[in-house]
Amino acid sequence: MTATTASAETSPAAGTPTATPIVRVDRLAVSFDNGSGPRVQAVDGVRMTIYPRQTLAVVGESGCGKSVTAMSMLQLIPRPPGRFDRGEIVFQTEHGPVDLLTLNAKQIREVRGNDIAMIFQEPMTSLNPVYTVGDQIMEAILLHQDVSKTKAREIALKSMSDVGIPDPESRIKAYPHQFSGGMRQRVMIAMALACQPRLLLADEPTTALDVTIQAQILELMTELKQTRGMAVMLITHDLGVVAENSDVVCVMYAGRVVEYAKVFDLYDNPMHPYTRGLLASIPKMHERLDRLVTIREIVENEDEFRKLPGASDGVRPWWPWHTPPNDLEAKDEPAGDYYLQEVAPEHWVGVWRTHAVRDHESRPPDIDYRVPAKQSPSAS
Amino acid sequence: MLGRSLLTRILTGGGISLGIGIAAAFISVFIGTLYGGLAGYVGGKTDAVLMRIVDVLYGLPYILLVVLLAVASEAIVAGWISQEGARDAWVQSTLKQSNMPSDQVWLEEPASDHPEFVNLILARVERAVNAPDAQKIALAEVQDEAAIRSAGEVLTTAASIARPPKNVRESSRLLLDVGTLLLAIGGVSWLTMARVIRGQVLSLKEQPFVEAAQATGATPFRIFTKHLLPNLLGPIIVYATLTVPQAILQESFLSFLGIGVKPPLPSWGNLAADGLSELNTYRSHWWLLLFPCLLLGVTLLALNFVGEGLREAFDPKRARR
Repeated sequence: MTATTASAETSPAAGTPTATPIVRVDRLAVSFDNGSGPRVQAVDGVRMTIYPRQTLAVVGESGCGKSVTAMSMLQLIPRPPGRFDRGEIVFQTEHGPVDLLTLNAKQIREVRGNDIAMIFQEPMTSLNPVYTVGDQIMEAILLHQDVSKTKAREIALKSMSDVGIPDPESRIKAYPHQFSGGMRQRVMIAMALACQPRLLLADEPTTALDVTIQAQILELMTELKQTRGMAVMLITHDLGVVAENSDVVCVMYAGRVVEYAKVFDLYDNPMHPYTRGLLASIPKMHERLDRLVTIREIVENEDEFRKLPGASDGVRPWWPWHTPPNDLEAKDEPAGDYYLQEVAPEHWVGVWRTHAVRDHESRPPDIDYRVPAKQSPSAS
Repeated sequence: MLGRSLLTRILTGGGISLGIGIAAAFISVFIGTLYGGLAGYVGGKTDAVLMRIVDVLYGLPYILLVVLLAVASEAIVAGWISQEGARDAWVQSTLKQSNMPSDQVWLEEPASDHPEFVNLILARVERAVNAPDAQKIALAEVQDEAAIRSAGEVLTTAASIARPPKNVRESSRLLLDVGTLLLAIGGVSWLTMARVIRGQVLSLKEQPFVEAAQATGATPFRIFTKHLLPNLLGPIIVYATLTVPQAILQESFLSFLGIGVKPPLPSWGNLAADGLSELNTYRSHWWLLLFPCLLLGVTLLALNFVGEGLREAFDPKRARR
């Protein structure tokens, strides 16, 4: 699974992906039992693709379904109350594509930690306090690789030094409480990387860390992505992190994808009013404002919704708080009133499935693009 | 009163009481951890059902439950030793094989009128009894009887030869008694343990490290044994030490009532009971009552101190003074 020598400096021609995506999420719908009330639709009609050596950033506010999408890939959604309503998550294993949602408990355990690894938000509590960090990294290795304990220890040491933990020989015997937050997150990454996964799900990996450590961890992840040919799904709500560390951005709101584009396209030309609201609400340096612009100010402005290309033909950005347009032609499928439309080349926006959209159904979001690597001394 | 040394008996009784206390605590820890762990880890309906059972058991009078369990398990042991059930089963299966009329009037007739039936019995006895010598004697006995007795009587004799009462030695009999006592005490005192463990598991399983372990592909069994149990060790140790004095008290109480440890085996409970019967206005042997009770009290106090100390040592929230 080592990367080919060809680096990702050049993206293939727009609209013609050459490689196979490592994972393709198609019309995923996940809902949760709400006890007395109706089921809560956490994720509905989500589509995304991730290519090797690509970082897909998933942004959105709390509860928009970012984590649920990632957890679904490993079937970590507790069922019940959760339920996979529809959709598929096609993962490219060494033996061909499989739908991760249809795997049984034993098969999905083979995938967890081995093909797809996950890093969590809270490095302070994601490690078991009663075991040494070495034990915990070795556990992941021994679960998936048929190696002896001494060999597992070697791999653990190697992976600890890979993530920049100084003096791994002595640190391997330390307990989690002897590590700082940043170091613990490094341990978590070492654990995740020990089995050479091909996809890393990073669920807000730096939210609990301070800014300097955050930069270090993200740099480390980018570097490891390059050296190992791994794909990364980076979940965050920090748009600064997104701009710096991702290739493709997927903006989610209320369980659906509202915008999906290359990172620079998204920042230069946000098309969905919600994305514009998100970007407008970031405070800017050298700009004195009495108060910041709120997302609400943007999305409550009807004019913002008419700026979309094709708006004159009846293409309207999807927004859950609006009443659907009159020419809506809902389909009987997850999020049937909504469609992820390629409104500009390699730029998808969630729109109402109106008459105009039905005639111009586009391909699902699929961007085989990587931000050209910066000129920096390579670490490996 | 027999002229026994009170000191020796109190010390021996102390050993027995402590032994039973510790063993019962182990049993209650084992059941409680498994039960509470299962309820907490599986959660949902399983948890609800399991914990309602605990609630119901909690509602029943504690001592009544111990007494009932002790009496019931004693009866079961007695039944197992006498082999009555097995003998009945042997008789029934013999009758079934014999193809004789089911009205069983013929059982009153002389055995010599039913040679086929006697032969069947002989064959079955032969199969049931193994040692060749014993076999010969047994067969002779049945044949002798067949000549003079009714068919029913021959059948009963044959049954007692084929399924004799268990020959249990005195020492193993004692061991069995103590074992049933342990079961009775341990089988009741796990309730608190189960509740404590369930609560701990409920909070522990929501910890991110459990989710992280799931994400690395660990099986639920592995997560329970490798990630949850070691984190439960603190409360388990504390509640185990607090269960020991409780179990000792129960053992003494049962022995005092004459259900628990039976004399001649001494225990603080039955020594106290003996001592009580020696109290009278004419001449009181007060020391027979005082010393077992004194030792029991001191031991319970000491064990409770140990438990409290451990609880404090394991509680991270309590500041060191």
